[in-house]
Amino acid sequence: MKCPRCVQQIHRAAASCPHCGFSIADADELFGNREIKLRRLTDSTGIFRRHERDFLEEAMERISHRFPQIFIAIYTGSLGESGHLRQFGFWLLNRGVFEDVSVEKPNENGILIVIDPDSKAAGMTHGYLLDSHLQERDSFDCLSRAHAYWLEGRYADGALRSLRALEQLLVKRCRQARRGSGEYQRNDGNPAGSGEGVKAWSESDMDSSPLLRDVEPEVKG
Amino acid sequence: MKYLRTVWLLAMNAAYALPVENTRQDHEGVGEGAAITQPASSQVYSEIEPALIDKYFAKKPSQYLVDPQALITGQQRKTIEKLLSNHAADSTIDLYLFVFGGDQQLPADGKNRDFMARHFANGKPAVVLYYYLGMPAWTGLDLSPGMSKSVSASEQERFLQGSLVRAMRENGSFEQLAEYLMQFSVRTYWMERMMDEASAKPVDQTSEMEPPDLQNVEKEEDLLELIPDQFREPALMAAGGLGSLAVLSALVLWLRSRARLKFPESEIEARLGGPHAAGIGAVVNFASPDVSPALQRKQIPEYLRRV
Repeated sequence: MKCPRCVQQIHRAAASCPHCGFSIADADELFGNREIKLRRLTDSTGIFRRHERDFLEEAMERISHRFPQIFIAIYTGSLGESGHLRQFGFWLLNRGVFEDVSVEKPNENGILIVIDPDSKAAGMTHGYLLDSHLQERDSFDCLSRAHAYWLEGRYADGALRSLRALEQLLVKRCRQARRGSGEYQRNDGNPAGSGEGVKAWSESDMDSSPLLRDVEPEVKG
Repeated sequence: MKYLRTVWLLAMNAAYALPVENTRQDHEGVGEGAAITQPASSQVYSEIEPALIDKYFAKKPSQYLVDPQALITGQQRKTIEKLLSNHAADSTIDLYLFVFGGDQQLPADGKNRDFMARHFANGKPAVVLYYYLGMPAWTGLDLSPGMSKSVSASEQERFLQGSLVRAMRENGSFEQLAEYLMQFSVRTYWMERMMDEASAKPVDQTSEMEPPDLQNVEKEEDLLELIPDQFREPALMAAGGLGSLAVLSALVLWLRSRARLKFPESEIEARLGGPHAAGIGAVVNFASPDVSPALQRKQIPEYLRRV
């Protein structure tokens, strides 16, 4: 496992990064410390057209249908000068409340793709459920499929390619995991990510993060 | 000596190869679409007596084997009857076998013109085979009125020829008959298909579309003929097995593609205070086409990337 800030290796149960001291509290300071209400597909920057959003939602739904435990979320936003894409992905998956995702799917079962069209970068973060199954290079390979499209500003096409690659990868990893589930079992700690309190609503959540103020229209739509 | 050899060769041709083409003559007294064969007029044959003719043609036969002269008896008769009844059970077309002696011939007016129309106009489609024992090349046939529209005279001829080729490989007259019947029984399947296709097509297109179908039938038969007899059955079994395997594989793949997949859940400790996630995943930069994904594979902190 690596720290979202310094990208250094950290211990599996580290409460904070032993190299730079990063923890969720630092991310909260940057982006806000309240839970954020948003939808699975939140296009704050308006880079997707209506029909493209339909395609994306369909692709996300297909994956969710095929993998009943998992949901996919896509967020587009401008992180401005901060440019802390990794930290933002880490923070959003922990603090986000995806209102159109079943409560049976807590955030630890989520895969979040963040696209920042201003800084021209995109990141993929996943919850604890897939920790044992998805490697850094897996996420990178999925995002790489979109690179050529995103270079041309075809964000939806790129995201669709990425989702398609992700689905294939999940199928592969799931079968591998089921074949040798013993290798993936970890019994060395307390259960985490039980979803406690994640689904609680907070009407003023949006205001708590300056980065997510522009999410409001999507939430109402 | 050379002369004798030439004569012998001509005689052999006349006896085995050519009779199919040379001795067949369409009988004028049969119904529409009929292809009946009579002995050549140059040879001496006895005409069947009128009383006997009535036994063949006066009424609709109650059995599939019509042999009032008892030319086939005993176990052989049972075999033929069984073959015909098995065919009737499997096929939508009934097959009637009229057996005559190899030295007999039907008189010109031996059969009423409307024999088939009178007895086979209604009910199950039927084919009547007129078989001369020991002379399979003379075999003729009549089709029930409904069938003759779907199966043209040239196709009927083809079916007769196909059966004859196989029957001529046998030696005994009974063995030839049995083989001929089996082959013809197989070919009624194609008649069924032609009837189905004709009934599915508009009436005005039926006659135009039949020749291509016949070509296909012949091609399929020819392919089978290419395989030696001893390998034909294993080849068919292998083909059937492969076909079944392909269907099964497609089914398995389809089921797998629709299967719902679940990851095994494991207990994972929270890290960095994150209740749901702590991984960094991956980041890809697409600011410049000069920086390909391959160059970004090694993940670095963002402040370094910006630098």
